[in-house]
Amino acid sequence: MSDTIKKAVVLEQGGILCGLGTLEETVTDLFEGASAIVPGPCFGVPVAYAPFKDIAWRSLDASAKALAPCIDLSSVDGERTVFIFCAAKGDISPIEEYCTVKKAPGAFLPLLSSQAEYAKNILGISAARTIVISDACASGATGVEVGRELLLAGRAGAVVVFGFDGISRFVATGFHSLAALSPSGARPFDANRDGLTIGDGAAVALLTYREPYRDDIVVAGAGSSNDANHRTGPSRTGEGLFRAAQAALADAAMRPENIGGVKCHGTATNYNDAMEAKALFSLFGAEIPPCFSMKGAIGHTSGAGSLVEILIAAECLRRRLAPPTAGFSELGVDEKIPVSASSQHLRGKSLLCLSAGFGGINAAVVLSEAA
Amino acid sequence: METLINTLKGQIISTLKLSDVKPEDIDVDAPLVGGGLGLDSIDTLELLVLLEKEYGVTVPDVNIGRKVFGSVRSLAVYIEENRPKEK
Amino acid sequence: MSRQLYLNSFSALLPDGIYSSLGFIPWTDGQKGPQDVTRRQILDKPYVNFGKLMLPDKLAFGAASLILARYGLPDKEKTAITLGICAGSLSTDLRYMETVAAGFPGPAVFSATLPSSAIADIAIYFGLKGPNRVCAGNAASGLTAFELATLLLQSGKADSALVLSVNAVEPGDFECPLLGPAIARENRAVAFLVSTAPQNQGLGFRLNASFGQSDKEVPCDSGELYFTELTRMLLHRKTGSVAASSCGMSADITITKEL
Repeated sequence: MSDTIKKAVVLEQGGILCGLGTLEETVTDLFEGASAIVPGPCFGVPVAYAPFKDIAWRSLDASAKALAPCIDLSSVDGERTVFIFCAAKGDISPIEEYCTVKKAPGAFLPLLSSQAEYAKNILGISAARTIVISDACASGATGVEVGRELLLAGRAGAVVVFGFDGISRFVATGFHSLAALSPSGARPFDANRDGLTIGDGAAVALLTYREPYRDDIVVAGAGSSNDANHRTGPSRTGEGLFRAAQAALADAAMRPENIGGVKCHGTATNYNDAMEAKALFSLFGAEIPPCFSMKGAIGHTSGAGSLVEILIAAECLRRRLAPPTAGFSELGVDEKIPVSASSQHLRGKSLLCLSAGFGGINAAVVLSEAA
Repeated sequence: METLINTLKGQIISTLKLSDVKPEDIDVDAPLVGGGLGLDSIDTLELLVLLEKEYGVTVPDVNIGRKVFGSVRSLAVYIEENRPKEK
Repeated sequence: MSRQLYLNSFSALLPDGIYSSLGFIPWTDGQKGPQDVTRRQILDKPYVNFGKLMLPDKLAFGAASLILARYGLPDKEKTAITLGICAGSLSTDLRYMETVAAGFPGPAVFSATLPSSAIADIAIYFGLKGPNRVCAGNAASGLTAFELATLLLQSGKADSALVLSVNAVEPGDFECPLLGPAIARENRAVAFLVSTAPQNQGLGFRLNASFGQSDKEVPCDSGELYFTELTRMLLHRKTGSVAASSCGMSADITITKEL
């Protein structure tokens, strides 16, 4: 009697572009405690920001070109491939150019459907259908969750998830009007944190559903929820993020003690970090595993950000290490969250990735080592 | 002062797009935030924009902000005290 | 193990008027379409935030209210909201750029410049705490939202789902080149309440929805006329099927009466 083949949703390949560069560059620099945050002004707004390491990447065209080599679709059936484009706003240049100098749109419209088609062609992807997921700053993670659901339901043979969100005057002035931006740079979970730092981000990932190899990283589970509280602020108790994390654990058939570490949302706003700490305490009690936030190093890379961070988190999981939380020095939340300015050993082979966005949207993804 | 208060009521309603609210419904001494109007933190930010745009007045920090937005009357007083004087 | 699904309620704001399980009401004099919907037409109680809603959010909220203000939900923590919205938040984006051009960027407008903004007020006002899926893509976005809702219900991640399809464009923007030809120049919002139990929130139809692939080149209408077709069937309590084909995706949505 043969063993039943145990399939899993495998994170086959991926690539990112952000302030610290490509995936390899970013992971190396993260573990050295580096940060891509530079002083402002950012489009006239007097705040620090985290631009792409190569500023040319800020166009959808250039990012998609740069990320195309990161996925190899030669063994994947285009007839059963679904392309999922994730963004909060994507490349907003057509709107800005039209509104300021009345320039008609060129290669693509600001509509995310148009950006998705454009990116898909540049990436060289043949897909049976294209889905655009725009769930605010949880877009990328929700895209991964949807990809997993489609694969498990047999609605796709392979899923390519792509995210892009670039800094713009639109976004910089907008967050500034919400008094959400730190003048000098994000300090996640820190006692002196004073707001978030916007960053450029782009990423691509290939997901398949097959029997995993020993060194594969799998998307073991995913879950999401809504705080039902406020247009932009999270619920004060962290209840929504807690339920999303619970749903992800249930989806992965895991318990909190199976989690080796947490890739936090950690935007460094007063409310997010306080809320997230409460959510983590609700989930883990006193035994919270090592936690880290990347937003003091690469900024808050918006909708694409949750995909960027999941891919970086996968590399951290391979190393069984949580990177330093750049910008952190003294804990500034009520709960004892193990955030550190140094690397920490993960306490297990699974990583919980959390993200949250405007409109109370929360998304959680569990990554695991296959073996 | 009364003229300013009446003007402010109208401006608050139109800036914050408060439907179902008429100027006579607003109690000028009731708390603006956390009061009967159901204003949230984004509405407060919109009021800051209103202050600057219509009256050239800014609020330097959160603590002063709390007093300023204590009521329509305290808002009017703050504007009177801080608006740029005509030359 | 496949769970039986039920279509328990519906509503729509369409160019000719308001549809719900209570019947059809045409727009009154002076109302040119869904963009002119008033609070009183969708909610009995005053709602101070209604006027703040930007167009996409107002249309989605209106359709949702016609269902949720009338009927309760058994478990709001397991009620998902899925939305297809092809034009995204474009009309709000343009309004935000106007505030930037005027020198005073508007925080309230900015916070609504996301496609997902259209579900925020629904979640807050009606307390819906389940998963959200906002598909702001091609003309199959509403169909995709329907499909993703069925996946959530089949997997147990949700027990009910509010499925929305919205097309929101300010008439003043109809000529704007940013819209492109694929976006319909009319406003629409359609909502269905789908769940794993026959709750009877106005209706109690058994629902069988299957989704597949299609190569058929069918002219894409971003308002998704097949949802309009389904809405009209429900208005007249007619059972039957709607077969849809759009942007590589096919759907067969069949409703039969619960005995």
